[in-house]
Amino acid sequence: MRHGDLLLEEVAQCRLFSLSIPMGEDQALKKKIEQTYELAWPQPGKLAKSVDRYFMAMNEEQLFALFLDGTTEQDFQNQLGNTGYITDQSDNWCYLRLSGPTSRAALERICPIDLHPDMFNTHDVARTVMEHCGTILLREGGDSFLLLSARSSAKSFLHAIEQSVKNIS
Amino acid sequence: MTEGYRIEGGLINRDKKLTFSFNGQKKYGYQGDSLASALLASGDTIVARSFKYHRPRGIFSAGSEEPNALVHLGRGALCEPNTKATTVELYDGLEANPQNYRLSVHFDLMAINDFLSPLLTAGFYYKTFMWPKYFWEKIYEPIIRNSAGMGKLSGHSDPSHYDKGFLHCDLLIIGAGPAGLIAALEAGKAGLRVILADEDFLPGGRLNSETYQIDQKPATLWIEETVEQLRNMPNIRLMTRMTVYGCYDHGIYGAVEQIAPEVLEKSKPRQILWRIYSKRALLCAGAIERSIAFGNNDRPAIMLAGAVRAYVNRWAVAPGKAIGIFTNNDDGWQTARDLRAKNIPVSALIDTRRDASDEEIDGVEIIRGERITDCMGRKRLRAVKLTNGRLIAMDTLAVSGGWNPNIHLTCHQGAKAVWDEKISAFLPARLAGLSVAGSANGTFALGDVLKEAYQAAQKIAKDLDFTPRAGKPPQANNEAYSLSPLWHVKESRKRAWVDLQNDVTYKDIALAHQEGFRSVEHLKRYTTLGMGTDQGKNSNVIGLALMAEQRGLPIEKIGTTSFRPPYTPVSIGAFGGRSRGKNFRPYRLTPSHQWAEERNAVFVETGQWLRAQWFPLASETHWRQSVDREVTMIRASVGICDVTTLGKIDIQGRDSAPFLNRVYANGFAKLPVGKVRYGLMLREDGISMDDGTTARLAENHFVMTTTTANAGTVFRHLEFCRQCLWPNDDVHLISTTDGWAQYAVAGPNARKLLQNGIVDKIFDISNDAFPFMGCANITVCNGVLARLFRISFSGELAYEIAVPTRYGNSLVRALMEAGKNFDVTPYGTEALGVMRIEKGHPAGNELNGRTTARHLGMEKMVSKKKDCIGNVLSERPYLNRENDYRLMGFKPVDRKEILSTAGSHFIAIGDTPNMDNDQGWMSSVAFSPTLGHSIGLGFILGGEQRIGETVRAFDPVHSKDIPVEIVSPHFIDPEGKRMRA
Repeated sequence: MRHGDLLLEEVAQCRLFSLSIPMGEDQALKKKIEQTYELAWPQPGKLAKSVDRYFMAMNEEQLFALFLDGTTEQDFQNQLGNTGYITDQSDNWCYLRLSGPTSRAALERICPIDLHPDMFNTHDVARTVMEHCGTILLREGGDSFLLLSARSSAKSFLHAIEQSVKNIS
Repeated sequence: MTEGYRIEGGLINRDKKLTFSFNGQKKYGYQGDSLASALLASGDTIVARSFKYHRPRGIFSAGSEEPNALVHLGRGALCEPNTKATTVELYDGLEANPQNYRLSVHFDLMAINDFLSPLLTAGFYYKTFMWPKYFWEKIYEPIIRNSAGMGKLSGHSDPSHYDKGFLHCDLLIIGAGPAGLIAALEAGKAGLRVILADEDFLPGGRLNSETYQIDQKPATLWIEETVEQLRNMPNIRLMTRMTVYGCYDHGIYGAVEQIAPEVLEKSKPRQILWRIYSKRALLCAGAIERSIAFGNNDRPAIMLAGAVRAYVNRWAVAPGKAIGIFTNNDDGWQTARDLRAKNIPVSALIDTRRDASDEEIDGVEIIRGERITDCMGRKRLRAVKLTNGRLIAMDTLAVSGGWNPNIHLTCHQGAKAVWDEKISAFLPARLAGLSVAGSANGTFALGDVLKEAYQAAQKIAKDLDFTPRAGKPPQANNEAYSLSPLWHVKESRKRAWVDLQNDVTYKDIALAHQEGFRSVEHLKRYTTLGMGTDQGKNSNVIGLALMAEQRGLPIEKIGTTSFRPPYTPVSIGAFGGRSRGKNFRPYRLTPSHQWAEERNAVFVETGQWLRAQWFPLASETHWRQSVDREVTMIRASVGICDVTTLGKIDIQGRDSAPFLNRVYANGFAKLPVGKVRYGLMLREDGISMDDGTTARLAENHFVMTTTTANAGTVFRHLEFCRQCLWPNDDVHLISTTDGWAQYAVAGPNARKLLQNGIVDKIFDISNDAFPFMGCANITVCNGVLARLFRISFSGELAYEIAVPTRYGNSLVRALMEAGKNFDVTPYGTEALGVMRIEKGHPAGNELNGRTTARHLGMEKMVSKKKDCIGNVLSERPYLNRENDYRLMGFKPVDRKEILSTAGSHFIAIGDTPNMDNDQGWMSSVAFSPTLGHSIGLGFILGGEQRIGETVRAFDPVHSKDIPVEIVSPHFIDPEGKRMRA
């Protein structure tokens, strides 16, 4: 959906995996991540990114790995061995990207988080609630935001975003 | 066109003429007008009728404190009653009408109330209409309600759109008058993120209505330049038409923004309700002028003196052609000067102070030490009478009783205002996080206002670790302001209004005191002083002063009522925002929702989910026909039910098995890989919490299912156990409810259906290879990853098959195709419910937060060989009484009787139905098409020992009293042969 200077699109083919650290084995998993993906384990609320891979730290002991390159659960498992607990979360979520100069103004209508660049910069990630829908929000860069919300309520979530876009345009 | 009162100058755009209507008459105004200014320009004096006495009323103020000029704005469903004409920005096509009258606003039949006023004093309805008693509700109250009040609701749903939003800032400045503007500028230059909010559509506050100078130039020019600077600063957000209506904890403020009429489209929100998160706030809300109570001081064309200046200077409207001024302070003199500067005739300046300034104003008769006792002119002021008996002709009177700092928001968190003798007004209490500057802080002189706000902004910047720039505030003269408080002209013989909006007079306050009301709060409630849409902005202080006078106490000893949110009325629509209709809250759909819709499914909301209840055929006219057919077909062949909504929790970790062993009452430590087990979860107090199945997919990997309703509760409970009770265990949880589409395939032909092209042939699902309570990761439909569970809620041979959600829609269609030869039947939650009752499986009705495992007949599941949550407290003697409630089955003795509702209570035959004789309750009922009669599940004292006994199922709510026989809760296949087949 293009509305004025805003583009709202579904990001198809996302694969999302939760990755949890086995008790007492955090160094092994973090080292494996570094070796395999050349990425440092991010701090909570931040993400580590390579070309088509986002590692989003949701809390101290869990991150979400978002792959845009078709990596499957089995691929991911093979790459990490037994260093972490993986659960395929791909179908739990819907994936929307909102981009354009007024994306912040649109999100302002439903997002309680301060999205000013000083407060929520590129590659920041947060869990929040928008219009009663649990949401993972990530700033890809500039005015582009990736929004993840529960798949079952995707229609309500889409409506919330679309309504915001229409209301500010 | 009538625009006889328009004068030169002002801040209106004469190039943009606007058409509007009032009371059905077409009128004109200009861009920049308010509805009130345009009405005054058109010569409209009477714009409303008063609340109780239906006296003609005119425009009294120029802002949100307006008590009189309440109008119906818009028409039909869009009509908004009680709108203050003084705050409505004029737009082309605006339609407004007066309110609260019968016949005409100029000839109101209800004005008879005015003549009956001796009978209608404060609290009259507490004392009258006492007899006959039953007349009150049927006769008196409807008449009173119909006569009193304000505007009328349209009675239609509001078609307007509303929205909400969230704002964040370092500093919220409330009010864009001189204090707010200079504070915003300084804070902005220091680098703070600032929101500057003002309820007016034009920034500048009172300065727009005055003729002051700042830095040797007209204040209006200074406003323009300052606003221009602010608009060019990216860290400043200037939001006009935005009223900050509430101050809440932790720096959170509520505000409502009106969208400018010229940009408002029908499809766009007309108001936005903002929640503002601020690190600090600065209240620069200015001050509100108050009146003086004197005889007939409510006549049309009696206005506040500051409002008269506003109409003259800002809106270029002369409110009258012979204007008098009545004041007890220096500020009233400014009105005379401004009027004369515009060549508007001034009848007299009456200052109550004998020692008032000896200044002379050209063309103005100045009368010192006199007071007005009466005003003549019912539909418009004609003359006033002074204490010395002199009559002075005038068509407008400007009154100034002094100014009250606008401290409303400082009281919202319970802080009490402080009386200040010097200005005879309340000052704000000191609050953490909320500073006050300018007139809102009792600093009235412009030079001092600018300096104080400038310094306040600098201090806030420093407090927040910003560096304010070096400099000094703009310069302005400090105009004189001294007053001699005067609340009421005692010489007045006529009614003297204290609260115009609620028709509260001096006499009412005296009466309240006479009748023993001493507390300010009681005074308010007895007389209605300070209620309504203006919340006593003009009247509260006068009322308090008069009560103090009655009690012979100083005002500070009387106390004050507390201001509560909202500062000004906020429409319910704004609070609702966009959450209307089906978007009131999110709804959840399963991936086969569209498939179900195609089959005419009737949906029910279960939590947020929409689930198919049944799938009616064209020939079916009653839901029972559909449900009976579905049950019958499943018992005979095979059916498919969408069970995607069940909660699913992925559990991994080395300690997962012992973890489950502790959260479930029954044992899970030794559950083999590839097996599912039914589990019962208890609360800490031993009461049943939830049930479900958990499958062991690998040594350290389990998948738990919960009931649909309790998915969130159980997940939260497990997280509590994991993080707080056993934080050293290696257990990791994550919800996968939305990640898997799951379908129950139930009935004698379930296996055959799955073997017909669904389950890939390399997987053997024969009874031997995949027996009851088995589970496996498999593939379906040529390679799609799936999970298969052999579990049964219906009591039939059954499977639950799960695929990633993206395949859900395809799978259900494939299942239907594969089942064609078996007359496969889709079934909904009703058939599911019927079958589980037939089978005696407890569900939400039975796990109701009051029942134990023992009540449910599952006491043997609470393993005593291990510890688990709820185990210890389930041992309490009361929960283990002999002859306690037990879950049993019930059949009507007369099989033709229909058990249509759960909730009946069991009473012994011959006993009186009362609490003492209550023996239990029916928790679930259904018509069993398999048995051909109604059945029920319920809890009854004594349980199994009473099988064969007859009791009454007594339901006083539905007037039902049906004898039922106590039977086993397992109506169908009690040995479980079918599901193990």
